[in-house]
Amino acid sequence: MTEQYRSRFRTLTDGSDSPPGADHHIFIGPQHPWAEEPAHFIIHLKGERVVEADIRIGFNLRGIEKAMENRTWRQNTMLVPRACGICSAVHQNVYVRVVEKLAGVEDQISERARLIRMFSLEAERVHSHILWYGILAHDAGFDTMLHISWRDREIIMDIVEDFSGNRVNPALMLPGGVKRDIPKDKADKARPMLNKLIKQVEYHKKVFTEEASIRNRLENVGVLTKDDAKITTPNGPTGRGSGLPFDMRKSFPYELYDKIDWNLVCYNEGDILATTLVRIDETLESLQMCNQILDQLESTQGELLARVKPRVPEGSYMARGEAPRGEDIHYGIANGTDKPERYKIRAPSLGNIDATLKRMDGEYVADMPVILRSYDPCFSCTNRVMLINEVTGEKIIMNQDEFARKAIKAKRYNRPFF
Amino acid sequence: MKKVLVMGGEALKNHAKGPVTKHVLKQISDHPPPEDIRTIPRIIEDRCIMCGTCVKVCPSHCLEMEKDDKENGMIWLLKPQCMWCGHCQTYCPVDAIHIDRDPNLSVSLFSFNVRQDYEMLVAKGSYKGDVADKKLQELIDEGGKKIKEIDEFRGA
Repeated sequence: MTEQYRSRFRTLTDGSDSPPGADHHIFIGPQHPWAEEPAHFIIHLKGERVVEADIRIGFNLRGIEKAMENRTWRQNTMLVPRACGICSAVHQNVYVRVVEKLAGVEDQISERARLIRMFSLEAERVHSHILWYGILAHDAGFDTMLHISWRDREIIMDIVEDFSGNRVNPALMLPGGVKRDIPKDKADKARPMLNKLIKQVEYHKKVFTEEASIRNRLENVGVLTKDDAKITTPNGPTGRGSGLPFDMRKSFPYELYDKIDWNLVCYNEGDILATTLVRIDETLESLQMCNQILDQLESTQGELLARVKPRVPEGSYMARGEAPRGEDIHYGIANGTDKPERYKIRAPSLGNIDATLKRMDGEYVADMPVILRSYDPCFSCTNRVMLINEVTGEKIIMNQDEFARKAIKAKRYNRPFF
Repeated sequence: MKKVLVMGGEALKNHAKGPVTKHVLKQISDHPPPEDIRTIPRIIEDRCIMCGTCVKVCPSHCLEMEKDDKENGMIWLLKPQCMWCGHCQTYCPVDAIHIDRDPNLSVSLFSFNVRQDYEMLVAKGSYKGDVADKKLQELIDEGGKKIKEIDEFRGA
Protein backbone atom coordinates (compact mmCIF):
# COMPACT_ATOMS: atom_id res chain seq x y z
CA MET A 1 0.00 0.00 0.00
CA THR A 2 1.41 3.36 -0.99
CA GLU A 3 1.12 6.47 1.12
CA GLN A 4 -1.35 8.08 -1.27
CA TYR A 5 -3.84 5.35 -0.50
CA ARG A 6 -6.50 6.22 2.03
CA SER A 7 -9.65 4.57 3.08
CA ARG A 8 -12.68 6.02 1.31
CA PHE A 9 -15.10 4.36 3.68
CA ARG A 10 -15.36 6.79 6.56
CA THR A 11 -18.31 6.58 8.91
CA LEU A 12 -19.97 9.94 9.29
CA THR A 13 -22.44 9.91 12.15
CA ASP A 14 -21.78 13.16 14.04
CA GLY A 15 -19.19 14.72 11.76
CA SER A 16 -16.32 13.69 14.01
CA ASP A 17 -14.85 11.42 11.39
CA SER A 18 -14.95 14.00 8.59
CA PRO A 19 -11.70 15.01 6.87
CA PRO A 20 -9.87 18.02 8.36
CA GLY A 21 -10.90 21.38 6.95
CA ALA A 22 -14.32 20.36 5.65
CA ASP A 23 -17.18 22.57 6.76
CA HIS A 24 -20.11 21.16 4.77
CA HIS A 25 -21.18 17.64 3.84
CA ILE A 26 -23.45 16.85 0.91
CA PHE A 27 -25.20 13.50 0.71
CA ILE A 28 -26.22 12.22 -2.70
CA GLY A 29 -28.27 9.08 -3.10
CA PRO A 30 -29.05 6.21 -2.89
CA GLN A 31 -32.22 7.70 -4.34
CA HIS A 32 -31.55 10.96 -6.10
CA PRO A 33 -32.87 12.61 -9.26
CA TRP A 34 -29.36 12.71 -10.67
CA ALA A 35 -28.63 9.03 -10.29
CA GLU A 36 -30.39 6.28 -12.15
CA GLU A 37 -28.35 3.81 -10.15
CA PRO A 38 -28.40 3.26 -6.39
CA ALA A 39 -25.18 4.58 -4.86
CA HIS A 40 -24.54 6.81 -1.90
CA PHE A 41 -22.01 9.63 -2.27
CA ILE A 42 -20.77 11.78 0.60
CA ILE A 43 -19.03 14.94 -0.57
CA HIS A 44 -17.06 16.92 2.00
CA LEU A 45 -16.75 20.61 1.09
CA LYS A 46 -14.76 23.62 2.16
CA GLY A 47 -16.63 26.56 0.74
CA GLU A 48 -17.39 25.56 -2.82
CA ARG A 49 -14.41 23.26 -3.25
CA VAL A 50 -14.44 19.53 -2.61
CA VAL A 51 -12.04 18.31 0.06
CA GLU A 52 -12.82 14.65 -0.27
CA ALA A 53 -15.57 12.38 -1.50
CA ASP A 54 -16.71 9.00 -0.25
CA ILE A 55 -18.91 6.36 -1.80
CA ARG A 56 -21.04 3.58 -0.40
CA ILE A 57 -22.33 0.89 -2.72
CA GLY A 58 -24.29 -2.26 -2.02
CA PHE A 59 -27.90 -1.12 -2.17
CA ASN A 60 -28.93 -3.41 -4.97
CA LEU A 61 -27.40 -6.83 -4.51
CA ARG A 62 -29.60 -9.06 -6.62
CA GLY A 63 -27.89 -12.37 -5.99
CA ILE A 64 -27.35 -13.36 -9.62
CA GLU A 65 -24.29 -15.43 -8.71
CA LYS A 66 -26.28 -17.44 -6.17
CA ALA A 67 -29.13 -17.89 -8.62
CA MET A 68 -26.67 -19.25 -11.15
CA GLU A 69 -25.72 -22.11 -8.84
CA ASN A 70 -29.30 -23.37 -8.94
CA ARG A 71 -29.59 -23.38 -12.72
CA THR A 72 -27.96 -25.43 -15.44
CA TRP A 73 -25.15 -24.07 -17.62
CA ARG A 74 -27.60 -23.84 -20.52
CA GLN A 75 -30.19 -21.88 -18.54
CA ASN A 76 -27.51 -19.54 -17.18
CA THR A 77 -26.76 -18.37 -20.72
CA MET A 78 -29.92 -16.29 -20.46
CA LEU A 79 -29.41 -15.22 -16.83
CA VAL A 80 -25.87 -13.84 -17.22
CA PRO A 81 -26.74 -10.98 -19.62
CA ARG A 82 -29.19 -9.72 -16.96
CA ALA A 83 -26.19 -8.80 -14.80
CA CYS A 84 -26.11 -5.46 -16.62
CA GLY A 85 -28.82 -3.56 -18.46
CA ILE A 86 -26.69 -2.03 -21.21
CA CYS A 87 -23.60 -4.24 -21.59
CA SER A 88 -25.50 -7.51 -21.72
CA ALA A 89 -23.80 -9.03 -24.76
CA VAL A 90 -20.29 -8.75 -23.33
CA HIS A 91 -21.32 -10.54 -20.12
CA GLN A 92 -22.82 -13.30 -22.24
CA ASN A 93 -19.74 -13.46 -24.44
CA VAL A 94 -17.35 -13.87 -21.53
CA TYR A 95 -19.62 -16.47 -19.91
CA VAL A 96 -19.86 -18.42 -23.13
CA ARG A 97 -16.08 -18.45 -23.47
CA VAL A 98 -15.75 -19.79 -19.92
CA VAL A 99 -18.16 -22.64 -20.70
CA GLU A 100 -16.49 -23.45 -24.00
CA LYS A 101 -13.06 -23.65 -22.41
CA LEU A 102 -14.37 -25.86 -19.59
CA ALA A 103 -16.18 -28.13 -22.02
CA GLY A 104 -13.13 -28.21 -24.30
CA VAL A 105 -14.88 -27.11 -27.49
CA GLU A 106 -13.25 -23.73 -28.05
CA ASP A 107 -11.51 -24.98 -31.23
CA GLN A 108 -14.78 -26.08 -32.81
CA ILE A 109 -16.35 -22.62 -32.97
CA SER A 110 -16.58 -21.58 -36.59
CA GLU A 111 -15.22 -18.30 -37.91
CA ARG A 112 -18.68 -17.20 -38.97
CA ALA A 113 -20.07 -17.65 -35.48
CA ARG A 114 -17.17 -15.65 -34.05
CA LEU A 115 -17.76 -12.82 -36.55
CA ILE A 116 -21.46 -12.63 -35.62
CA ARG A 117 -20.51 -12.51 -31.94
CA MET A 118 -18.09 -9.67 -32.66
CA PHE A 119 -20.76 -7.74 -34.53
CA SER A 120 -23.03 -8.04 -31.52
CA LEU A 121 -20.28 -6.84 -29.18
CA GLU A 122 -19.32 -3.84 -31.33
CA ALA A 123 -22.93 -2.80 -31.91
CA GLU A 124 -23.38 -2.86 -28.16
CA ARG A 125 -20.32 -0.68 -27.65
CA VAL A 126 -21.72 1.81 -30.16
CA HIS A 127 -25.10 2.16 -28.50
CA SER A 128 -23.65 2.17 -24.99
CA HIS A 129 -21.21 4.99 -25.80
CA ILE A 130 -23.84 7.09 -27.59
CA LEU A 131 -26.17 6.63 -24.63
CA TRP A 132 -23.40 7.68 -22.28
CA TYR A 133 -22.39 10.92 -23.93
CA GLY A 134 -26.04 11.82 -24.35
CA ILE A 135 -26.54 11.56 -20.59
CA LEU A 136 -23.27 13.40 -19.97
CA ALA A 137 -24.54 16.32 -22.06
CA HIS A 138 -27.79 16.19 -20.10
CA ASP A 139 -25.89 16.37 -16.80
CA ALA A 140 -23.89 19.31 -18.12
CA GLY A 141 -27.15 21.10 -18.92
CA PHE A 142 -26.97 20.66 -22.70
CA ASP A 143 -30.21 18.77 -23.34
CA THR A 144 -30.23 19.38 -27.10
CA MET A 145 -27.30 16.99 -27.43
CA LEU A 146 -29.16 14.36 -25.38
CA HIS A 147 -32.09 14.39 -27.78
CA ILE A 148 -29.96 14.49 -30.93
CA SER A 149 -27.64 11.66 -29.85
CA TRP A 150 -30.43 9.42 -28.60
CA ARG A 151 -32.35 9.98 -31.83
CA ASP A 152 -29.32 8.77 -33.79
CA ARG A 153 -28.83 5.86 -31.39
CA GLU A 154 -32.11 4.43 -32.70
CA ILE A 155 -30.31 3.59 -35.97
CA ILE A 156 -28.03 1.04 -34.32
CA MET A 157 -30.87 -0.20 -32.12
CA ASP A 158 -32.90 -0.95 -35.25
CA ILE A 159 -29.99 -2.90 -36.71
CA VAL A 160 -29.56 -4.93 -33.52
CA GLU A 161 -33.29 -5.63 -33.41
CA ASP A 162 -33.26 -6.74 -37.03
CA PHE A 163 -30.35 -9.13 -36.45
CA SER A 164 -31.27 -10.56 -33.07
CA GLY A 165 -34.97 -9.96 -32.44
CA ASN A 166 -34.44 -7.73 -29.42
CA ARG A 167 -33.31 -4.15 -28.98
CA VAL A 168 -31.07 -3.97 -25.92
CA ASN A 169 -30.48 -7.59 -24.98
CA PRO A 170 -29.52 -9.33 -28.23
CA ALA A 171 -28.68 -12.65 -26.50
CA LEU A 172 -27.22 -14.07 -29.71
CA MET A 173 -24.55 -16.21 -28.10
CA LEU A 174 -24.67 -19.77 -26.86
CA PRO A 175 -21.95 -22.14 -25.71
CA GLY A 176 -20.79 -23.51 -29.05
CA GLY A 177 -21.75 -20.67 -31.34
CA VAL A 178 -24.60 -18.29 -32.03
CA LYS A 179 -28.37 -18.59 -32.24
CA ARG A 180 -29.10 -16.68 -35.40
CA ASP A 181 -27.40 -16.07 -38.70
CA ILE A 182 -26.94 -12.69 -40.37
CA PRO A 183 -28.18 -13.33 -43.92
CA LYS A 184 -26.99 -11.29 -46.88
CA ASP A 185 -30.17 -9.28 -47.39
CA LYS A 186 -30.14 -8.10 -43.79
CA ALA A 187 -26.46 -7.12 -44.03
CA ASP A 188 -27.17 -5.14 -47.19
CA LYS A 189 -29.99 -3.35 -45.40
CA ALA A 190 -27.73 -2.51 -42.45
CA ARG A 191 -24.76 -1.07 -44.40
CA PRO A 192 -26.29 2.28 -45.46
CA MET A 193 -27.68 2.69 -41.93
CA LEU A 194 -24.19 2.23 -40.46
CA ASN A 195 -22.74 4.79 -42.88
CA LYS A 196 -25.46 7.24 -41.91
CA LEU A 197 -24.64 6.72 -38.24
CA ILE A 198 -20.93 7.33 -38.89
CA LYS A 199 -21.81 10.74 -40.35
CA GLN A 200 -24.01 11.52 -37.35
CA VAL A 201 -21.33 10.52 -34.82
CA GLU A 202 -18.79 12.70 -36.64
CA TYR A 203 -21.28 15.53 -36.24
CA HIS A 204 -21.55 14.73 -32.50
CA LYS A 205 -17.78 14.93 -32.25
CA LYS A 206 -17.82 18.31 -33.96
CA VAL A 207 -20.39 19.56 -31.43
CA PHE A 208 -18.41 18.30 -28.43
CA THR A 209 -15.13 19.82 -29.63
CA GLU A 210 -16.42 23.14 -31.03
CA GLU A 211 -19.55 24.19 -29.15
CA ALA A 212 -18.45 26.56 -26.40
CA SER A 213 -21.29 25.87 -23.96
CA ILE A 214 -20.50 22.15 -23.62
CA ARG A 215 -16.73 22.45 -23.99
CA ASN A 216 -16.43 24.92 -21.12
CA ARG A 217 -18.20 22.44 -18.84
CA LEU A 218 -15.87 19.55 -19.74
CA GLU A 219 -12.44 20.98 -20.48
CA ASN A 220 -9.93 20.97 -17.58
CA VAL A 221 -12.59 19.61 -15.24
CA GLY A 222 -11.83 16.61 -13.05
CA VAL A 223 -8.32 16.05 -14.33
CA LEU A 224 -6.91 12.61 -13.59
CA THR A 225 -3.20 12.74 -14.41
CA LYS A 226 -1.29 9.73 -15.65
CA ASP A 227 0.50 9.30 -12.31
CA ASP A 228 -2.79 9.37 -10.41
CA ALA A 229 -4.25 6.94 -12.91
CA LYS A 230 -1.40 4.50 -12.30
CA ILE A 231 -2.15 4.53 -8.56
CA THR A 232 -5.94 4.27 -8.79
CA THR A 233 -5.90 1.83 -11.76
CA PRO A 234 -8.96 2.77 -13.78
CA ASN A 235 -9.83 0.50 -16.68
CA GLY A 236 -11.59 0.99 -19.98
CA PRO A 237 -12.23 4.44 -21.47
CA THR A 238 -11.55 6.12 -18.10
CA GLY A 239 -7.98 4.83 -18.17
CA ARG A 240 -7.56 5.47 -21.88
CA GLY A 241 -8.51 9.12 -21.36
CA SER A 242 -5.64 9.45 -18.88
CA GLY A 243 -2.94 7.96 -21.05
CA LEU A 244 -3.14 4.30 -20.07
CA PRO A 245 -3.33 2.56 -23.47
CA PHE A 246 -4.86 -0.64 -22.16
CA ASP A 247 -7.59 -2.44 -24.03
CA MET A 248 -8.46 -6.10 -23.55
CA ARG A 249 -9.12 -6.48 -27.27
CA LYS A 250 -5.55 -5.41 -28.11
CA SER A 251 -3.67 -6.76 -25.09
CA PHE A 252 -5.26 -10.22 -24.90
CA PRO A 253 -7.19 -10.65 -28.17
CA TYR A 254 -10.22 -12.91 -27.98
CA GLU A 255 -12.67 -13.96 -30.71
CA LEU A 256 -11.15 -12.54 -33.93
CA TYR A 257 -10.06 -9.10 -32.77
CA ASP A 258 -6.50 -9.73 -33.94
CA LYS A 259 -7.68 -10.33 -37.52
CA ILE A 260 -9.49 -7.02 -37.96
CA ASP A 261 -7.99 -3.57 -38.60
CA TRP A 262 -8.67 -1.14 -35.82
CA ASN A 263 -6.80 1.45 -33.80
CA LEU A 264 -6.51 1.85 -30.07
CA VAL A 265 -7.89 5.24 -28.97
CA CYS A 266 -5.91 6.97 -26.24
CA TYR A 267 -5.82 10.56 -25.00
CA ASN A 268 -3.32 12.00 -22.51
CA GLU A 269 -5.20 15.05 -21.15
CA GLY A 270 -7.10 13.19 -18.45
CA ASP A 271 -10.02 15.61 -18.14
CA ILE A 272 -13.67 14.80 -18.81
CA LEU A 273 -13.42 16.05 -22.38
CA ALA A 274 -10.66 13.52 -23.09
CA THR A 275 -12.81 10.71 -21.67
CA THR A 276 -15.69 11.86 -23.86
CA LEU A 277 -13.53 12.02 -26.98
CA VAL A 278 -12.15 8.54 -26.26
CA ARG A 279 -15.67 7.21 -26.29
CA ILE A 280 -16.71 9.11 -29.44
CA ASP A 281 -13.60 7.95 -31.31
CA GLU A 282 -14.21 4.41 -30.13
CA THR A 283 -17.76 4.62 -31.45
CA LEU A 284 -16.41 5.56 -34.87
CA GLU A 285 -13.81 2.79 -34.63
CA SER A 286 -16.51 0.25 -33.70
CA LEU A 287 -18.78 1.34 -36.55
CA GLN A 288 -15.87 0.91 -38.95
CA MET A 289 -15.32 -2.58 -37.49
CA CYS A 290 -19.03 -3.40 -37.95
CA ASN A 291 -18.70 -2.58 -41.66
CA GLN A 292 -15.59 -4.77 -41.91
CA ILE A 293 -17.34 -7.67 -40.18
CA LEU A 294 -20.30 -7.47 -42.56
CA ASP A 295 -17.86 -7.57 -45.50
CA GLN A 296 -16.03 -10.58 -44.07
CA LEU A 297 -19.29 -12.42 -43.37
CA GLU A 298 -19.99 -12.62 -47.12
CA SER A 299 -16.96 -14.79 -47.79
CA THR A 300 -17.03 -16.86 -44.57
CA GLN A 301 -18.99 -20.05 -44.25
CA GLY A 302 -19.36 -22.46 -41.39
CA GLU A 303 -21.61 -24.17 -38.87
CA LEU A 304 -23.31 -21.73 -36.54
CA LEU A 305 -23.68 -24.00 -33.52
CA ALA A 306 -21.26 -26.71 -32.38
CA ARG A 307 -22.61 -29.37 -30.04
CA VAL A 308 -21.85 -28.83 -26.36
CA LYS A 309 -22.93 -31.47 -23.87
CA PRO A 310 -25.09 -30.26 -20.98
CA ARG A 311 -22.70 -31.75 -18.40
CA VAL A 312 -19.49 -29.73 -18.07
CA PRO A 313 -16.40 -31.63 -16.84
CA GLU A 314 -14.64 -30.61 -13.63
CA GLY A 315 -12.35 -27.60 -13.70
CA SER A 316 -12.17 -23.85 -13.39
CA TYR A 317 -11.42 -21.04 -15.84
CA MET A 318 -11.24 -17.26 -15.85
CA ALA A 319 -12.08 -15.25 -18.96
CA ARG A 320 -11.86 -11.52 -19.58
CA GLY A 321 -13.44 -9.18 -22.08
CA GLU A 322 -13.57 -5.50 -22.91
CA ALA A 323 -16.97 -4.16 -21.94
CA PRO A 324 -17.98 -0.63 -23.01
CA ARG A 325 -17.13 0.49 -19.44
CA GLY A 326 -13.89 -1.42 -18.98
CA GLU A 327 -12.60 -4.83 -18.13
CA ASP A 328 -15.12 -7.55 -17.39
CA ILE A 329 -13.88 -10.66 -15.55
CA HIS A 330 -15.74 -13.94 -15.10
CA TYR A 331 -14.55 -16.94 -13.13
CA GLY A 332 -16.41 -20.23 -13.17
CA ILE A 333 -15.92 -23.49 -11.30
CA ALA A 334 -17.49 -26.65 -12.70
CA ASN A 335 -17.97 -29.81 -10.68
CA GLY A 336 -18.86 -32.31 -13.38
CA THR A 337 -22.65 -31.91 -13.19
CA ASP A 338 -24.80 -29.71 -15.37
CA LYS A 339 -24.78 -26.89 -12.82
CA PRO A 340 -21.89 -24.60 -11.84
CA GLU A 341 -20.28 -25.07 -8.43
CA ARG A 342 -19.52 -21.35 -8.10
CA TYR A 343 -19.55 -18.44 -10.51
CA LYS A 344 -18.01 -15.03 -9.96
CA ILE A 345 -18.58 -11.85 -11.96
CA ARG A 346 -16.45 -8.74 -11.60
CA ALA A 347 -18.13 -5.90 -13.44
CA PRO A 348 -16.02 -3.01 -14.84
CA SER A 349 -17.52 -0.10 -12.86
CA LEU A 350 -15.94 -1.37 -9.64
CA GLY A 351 -12.44 -0.72 -10.95
CA ASN A 352 -13.23 2.89 -11.86
CA ILE A 353 -14.74 4.09 -8.57
CA ASP A 354 -11.45 4.99 -6.89
CA ALA A 355 -10.18 6.92 -9.91
CA THR A 356 -13.39 8.92 -10.07
CA LEU A 357 -13.22 9.82 -6.38
CA LYS A 358 -9.63 10.95 -6.95
CA ARG A 359 -10.91 13.18 -9.77
CA MET A 360 -13.16 15.12 -7.42
CA ASP A 361 -10.43 16.43 -5.12
CA GLY A 362 -10.26 20.22 -5.34
CA GLU A 363 -13.07 20.60 -7.87
CA TYR A 364 -16.12 22.85 -7.65
CA VAL A 365 -19.31 21.31 -6.32
CA ALA A 366 -21.12 22.41 -9.50
CA ASP A 367 -18.95 20.02 -11.52
CA MET A 368 -19.92 17.00 -9.43
CA PRO A 369 -22.69 15.64 -11.72
CA VAL A 370 -20.36 15.62 -14.71
CA ILE A 371 -17.50 13.97 -12.81
CA LEU A 372 -19.73 11.36 -11.21
CA ARG A 373 -21.10 10.51 -14.64
CA SER A 374 -17.66 10.34 -16.24
CA TYR A 375 -17.02 6.65 -15.70
CA ASP A 376 -20.48 5.45 -16.74
CA PRO A 377 -21.60 4.18 -13.34
CA CYS A 378 -23.39 0.87 -13.36
CA PHE A 379 -23.78 -0.23 -9.76
CA SER A 380 -26.46 -2.84 -10.08
CA CYS A 381 -23.97 -5.02 -11.89
CA THR A 382 -21.12 -3.98 -9.59
CA ASN A 383 -22.56 -4.85 -6.21
CA ARG A 384 -20.88 -8.12 -5.42
CA VAL A 385 -18.88 -7.95 -2.18
CA MET A 386 -20.43 -7.64 1.25
CA LEU A 387 -19.15 -9.38 4.37
CA ILE A 388 -21.89 -9.76 6.96
CA ASN A 389 -21.52 -11.67 10.21
CA GLU A 390 -24.72 -13.64 10.48
CA VAL A 391 -24.66 -13.84 14.28
CA THR A 392 -24.02 -10.21 15.17
CA GLY A 393 -25.18 -8.53 11.97
CA GLU A 394 -21.83 -6.76 11.77
CA LYS A 395 -20.78 -5.50 8.34
CA ILE A 396 -17.12 -5.44 7.41
CA ILE A 397 -15.46 -3.85 4.42
CA MET A 398 -11.80 -4.76 4.02
CA ASN A 399 -9.05 -3.92 1.63
CA GLN A 400 -7.45 -6.62 -0.42
CA ASP A 401 -4.46 -7.26 1.87
CA GLU A 402 -6.55 -7.68 5.02
CA PHE A 403 -8.96 -9.90 3.19
CA ALA A 404 -6.23 -12.14 1.80
CA ARG A 405 -4.39 -12.35 5.13
CA LYS A 406 -7.53 -13.24 7.01
CA ALA A 407 -8.57 -15.81 4.45
CA ILE A 408 -5.14 -17.50 4.51
CA LYS A 409 -5.14 -17.61 8.31
CA ALA A 410 -8.62 -19.04 8.43
CA LYS A 411 -7.64 -21.72 5.97
CA ARG A 412 -4.31 -22.58 7.62
CA TYR A 413 -5.41 -22.72 11.25
CA ASN A 414 -8.90 -23.95 10.46
CA ARG A 415 -10.45 -20.91 12.13
CA PRO A 416 -13.76 -19.16 11.39
CA PHE A 417 -13.33 -16.24 9.01
CA PHE A 418 -14.77 -13.54 11.27
CA MET B 1 -11.53 26.40 -31.46
CA LYS B 2 -14.66 27.33 -29.58
CA LYS B 3 -17.76 28.55 -31.35
CA VAL B 4 -21.32 29.28 -30.33
CA LEU B 5 -24.54 27.94 -31.84
CA VAL B 6 -22.89 25.03 -33.62
CA MET B 7 -26.21 23.22 -33.53
CA GLY B 8 -28.23 26.13 -34.92
CA GLY B 9 -28.62 24.59 -38.37
CA GLU B 10 -29.75 21.29 -36.88
CA ALA B 11 -32.27 23.08 -34.68
CA LEU B 12 -33.80 24.93 -37.65
CA LYS B 13 -33.96 21.72 -39.68
CA ASN B 14 -35.71 19.86 -36.86
CA HIS B 15 -38.13 22.70 -36.36
CA ALA B 16 -39.23 22.41 -39.96
CA LYS B 17 -39.49 18.60 -39.79
CA GLY B 18 -41.73 18.32 -36.74
CA PRO B 19 -41.52 15.68 -34.02
CA VAL B 20 -39.67 12.45 -34.80
CA THR B 21 -42.10 10.45 -32.67
CA LYS B 22 -45.07 11.39 -34.82
CA HIS B 23 -45.83 7.80 -35.76
CA VAL B 24 -46.05 6.66 -32.14
CA LEU B 25 -49.09 8.85 -31.60
CA LYS B 26 -51.11 6.64 -33.95
CA GLN B 27 -52.84 3.47 -32.76
CA ILE B 28 -50.57 0.69 -31.54
CA SER B 29 -52.31 -1.93 -33.64
CA ASP B 30 -51.34 -0.01 -36.79
CA HIS B 31 -47.72 -0.85 -36.09
CA PRO B 32 -47.07 -4.58 -36.15
CA PRO B 33 -43.82 -5.71 -34.52
CA PRO B 34 -40.84 -6.28 -36.84
CA GLU B 35 -40.41 -9.52 -38.77
CA ASP B 36 -37.91 -11.45 -36.68
CA ILE B 37 -38.79 -10.22 -33.19
CA ARG B 38 -38.53 -12.85 -30.46
CA THR B 39 -41.87 -13.49 -28.77
CA ILE B 40 -43.55 -16.27 -26.81
CA PRO B 41 -43.05 -19.80 -28.16
CA ARG B 42 -45.62 -21.55 -30.28
CA ILE B 43 -45.38 -25.28 -31.05
CA ILE B 44 -46.30 -27.02 -34.28
CA GLU B 45 -48.42 -29.88 -32.98
CA ASP B 46 -47.68 -32.41 -35.73
CA ARG B 47 -43.94 -32.18 -35.26
CA CYS B 48 -43.74 -32.27 -31.46
CA ILE B 49 -42.49 -35.59 -30.09
CA MET B 50 -43.02 -34.77 -26.38
CA CYS B 51 -39.33 -35.18 -25.53
CA GLY B 52 -39.37 -32.41 -22.91
CA THR B 53 -36.16 -30.67 -24.00
CA CYS B 54 -37.85 -27.26 -24.07
CA VAL B 55 -39.07 -27.76 -20.49
CA LYS B 56 -35.55 -28.65 -19.32
CA VAL B 57 -33.69 -25.78 -20.98
CA CYS B 58 -36.21 -23.02 -20.16
CA PRO B 59 -34.33 -20.52 -17.93
CA SER B 60 -37.44 -19.06 -16.30
CA HIS B 61 -39.28 -22.36 -15.73
CA CYS B 62 -42.33 -21.10 -17.58
CA LEU B 63 -42.93 -24.26 -19.63
CA GLU B 64 -44.53 -27.20 -17.88
CA MET B 65 -45.36 -30.67 -19.09
CA GLU B 66 -47.45 -33.66 -18.14
CA LYS B 67 -47.35 -36.98 -19.98
CA ASP B 68 -47.97 -40.70 -19.47
CA ASP B 69 -45.76 -43.60 -20.52
CA LYS B 70 -47.41 -43.78 -23.97
CA GLU B 71 -46.07 -40.32 -24.93
CA ASN B 72 -49.53 -38.81 -24.56
CA GLY B 73 -49.58 -35.52 -22.72
CA MET B 74 -49.59 -31.75 -22.95
CA ILE B 75 -47.21 -28.80 -22.62
CA TRP B 76 -48.46 -25.48 -21.30
CA LEU B 77 -46.91 -22.07 -20.83
CA LEU B 78 -47.09 -19.63 -17.96
CA LYS B 79 -47.27 -16.47 -20.04
CA PRO B 80 -46.14 -13.71 -17.65
CA GLN B 81 -43.06 -15.72 -16.65
CA CYS B 82 -41.75 -16.10 -20.21
CA MET B 83 -38.94 -13.70 -21.11
CA TRP B 84 -38.97 -14.43 -24.85
CA CYS B 85 -35.41 -15.70 -24.94
CA GLY B 86 -35.91 -18.41 -27.55
CA HIS B 87 -33.92 -21.14 -25.84
CA CYS B 88 -36.72 -23.65 -26.52
CA GLN B 89 -36.52 -22.90 -30.23
CA THR B 90 -32.73 -23.28 -30.34
CA TYR B 91 -32.57 -26.60 -28.52
CA CYS B 92 -35.68 -28.25 -30.02
CA PRO B 93 -34.39 -31.38 -31.79
CA VAL B 94 -37.20 -31.49 -34.39
CA ASP B 95 -37.68 -27.74 -35.10
CA ALA B 96 -41.21 -27.81 -33.74
CA ILE B 97 -41.09 -24.44 -31.94
CA HIS B 98 -41.11 -21.02 -33.53
CA ILE B 99 -40.88 -17.75 -31.64
CA ASP B 100 -41.02 -15.23 -34.49
CA ARG B 101 -43.67 -12.62 -35.03
CA ASP B 102 -47.08 -13.19 -33.58
CA PRO B 103 -49.46 -10.87 -35.48
CA ASN B 104 -51.68 -10.35 -32.44
CA LEU B 105 -48.79 -9.63 -30.10
CA SER B 106 -49.25 -5.90 -29.67
CA VAL B 107 -52.99 -6.35 -29.07
CA SER B 108 -52.62 -9.23 -26.62
CA LEU B 109 -49.93 -7.41 -24.62
CA PHE B 110 -52.21 -4.52 -23.85
CA SER B 111 -55.31 -6.58 -23.07
CA PHE B 112 -53.61 -8.55 -20.35
CA ASN B 113 -55.58 -10.33 -17.65
CA VAL B 114 -55.50 -13.32 -15.31
CA ARG B 115 -57.54 -15.57 -17.59
CA GLN B 116 -54.84 -15.44 -20.22
CA ASP B 117 -51.98 -16.36 -17.89
CA TYR B 118 -51.87 -19.99 -18.93
CA GLU B 119 -51.74 -20.91 -22.55
CA MET B 120 -51.86 -24.42 -23.95
CA LEU B 121 -49.07 -25.00 -26.44
CA VAL B 122 -49.59 -28.60 -27.46
CA ALA B 123 -51.79 -31.56 -26.43
CA LYS B 124 -51.33 -35.10 -27.64
CA GLY B 125 -53.21 -38.38 -27.51
CA SER B 126 -55.58 -38.80 -24.60
CA TYR B 127 -54.99 -35.19 -23.49
CA LYS B 128 -56.76 -33.73 -26.50
CA GLY B 129 -60.11 -32.02 -26.50
CA ASP B 130 -62.14 -31.78 -23.31
CA VAL B 131 -59.46 -33.34 -21.09
CA ALA B 132 -56.91 -30.74 -22.11
CA ASP B 133 -59.40 -27.90 -21.64
CA LYS B 134 -60.31 -29.23 -18.20
CA LYS B 135 -56.65 -29.44 -17.16
CA LEU B 136 -56.04 -25.92 -18.37
CA GLN B 137 -59.11 -24.67 -16.51
CA GLU B 138 -57.75 -26.27 -13.32
CA LEU B 139 -54.46 -24.45 -13.77
CA ILE B 140 -56.22 -21.15 -14.43
CA ASP B 141 -58.36 -21.55 -11.29
CA GLU B 142 -55.29 -22.41 -9.22
CA GLY B 143 -53.42 -19.40 -10.56
CA GLY B 144 -56.44 -17.17 -9.98
CA LYS B 145 -56.62 -18.32 -6.35
CA LYS B 146 -52.96 -17.46 -5.84
CA ILE B 147 -53.38 -14.01 -7.33
CA LYS B 148 -56.47 -13.46 -5.15
CA GLU B 149 -54.45 -14.41 -2.06
CA ILE B 150 -51.70 -12.00 -3.03
CA ASP B 151 -54.25 -9.23 -3.56
CA GLU B 152 -55.80 -9.91 -0.15
CA PHE B 153 -52.36 -9.87 1.44
CA ARG B 154 -51.69 -6.48 -0.12
CA GLY B 155 -55.03 -5.24 1.16
CA ALA B 156 -56.61 -4.66 -2.23
